[in-house]
Amino acid sequence: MNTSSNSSLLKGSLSVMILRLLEDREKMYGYEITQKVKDLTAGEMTITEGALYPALHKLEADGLLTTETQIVDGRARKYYSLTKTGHTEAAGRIAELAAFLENLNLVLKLKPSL
Amino acid sequence: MALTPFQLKYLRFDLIGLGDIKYDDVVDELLDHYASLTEQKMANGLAFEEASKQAWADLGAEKGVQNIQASFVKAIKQQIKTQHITILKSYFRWPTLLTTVLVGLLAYVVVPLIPVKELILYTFFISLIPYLFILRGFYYGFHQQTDTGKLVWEYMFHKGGLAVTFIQLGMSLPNGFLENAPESTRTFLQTYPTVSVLICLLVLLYTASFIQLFQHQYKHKFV
Repeated sequence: MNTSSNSSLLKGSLSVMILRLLEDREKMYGYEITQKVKDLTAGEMTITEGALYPALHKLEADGLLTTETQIVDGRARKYYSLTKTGHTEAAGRIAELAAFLENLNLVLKLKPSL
Repeated sequence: MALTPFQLKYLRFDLIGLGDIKYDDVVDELLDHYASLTEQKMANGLAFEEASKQAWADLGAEKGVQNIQASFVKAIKQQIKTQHITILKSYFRWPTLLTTVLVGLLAYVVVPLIPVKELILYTFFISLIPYLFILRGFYYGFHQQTDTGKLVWEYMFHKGGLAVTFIQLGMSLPNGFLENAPESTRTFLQTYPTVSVLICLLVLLYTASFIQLFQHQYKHKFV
């Protein structure tokens, strides 16, 4: 995200966003993830590399992602995909975040009491 | 438009020279991102020099790439630790335990048949194996490797304290059989040769766990 306040909002949900994107696609690489988020949000949200890669590395260390490398245009490209545990965990985390956002929305739309 | 090999070499130099990226895996991953950003900017009409300059800033420049490397190292260390615990746990499954007990029993039967001097020599060499492994690790881990195998060696050094204790224990055991050893030590070791065999087996098992750990690939899986 562009501003620092947005960036702190994104912090907690970045791993869920990555899991969700990888649920949709068989495999993705780092740059592709940043572009996908940018496209989906019409440029409103951008993930910095400094936030993306630590999140990807953490998910991989937790056993939720697996990687494979292909040579593309003369350079190694590391693709990330969900593991079996990753698929299960993704569903749980997405549902959890969705429920949280729903509740947050209820609070934000609170009408002033008469 | 894909970058030329020369341009890729230029970007790689930025990562290694300016960014101080030490691990091949990190260099490869960031090079692809750096190159993709540069290509995107070149597609928008910028020349390679300007495009790469902007892409480098997008990556967070020196500090940014170093932070990414730090996160990579942290994640790999976590994976190594988890893997090592899994390996050690696997030794406590009943087939492994049974095999170890059988080997121990065999050693218990065979050891008294070996002349004392030869037994001392064998124990000495067995207790040297972990040392040789650590020395090899020192050579490869600190002087040669730039891949994630280096992190496995570093982990081994941190966790090697226990191995060194076993080594020292294994080295001191033969002394128990020497003429000038205290009577109580001699009696203990001669009465319970299983203890020395058990310690030797533990040394070997602990060393084997590191060998198994090192064989596990933490680097790129090419397809």
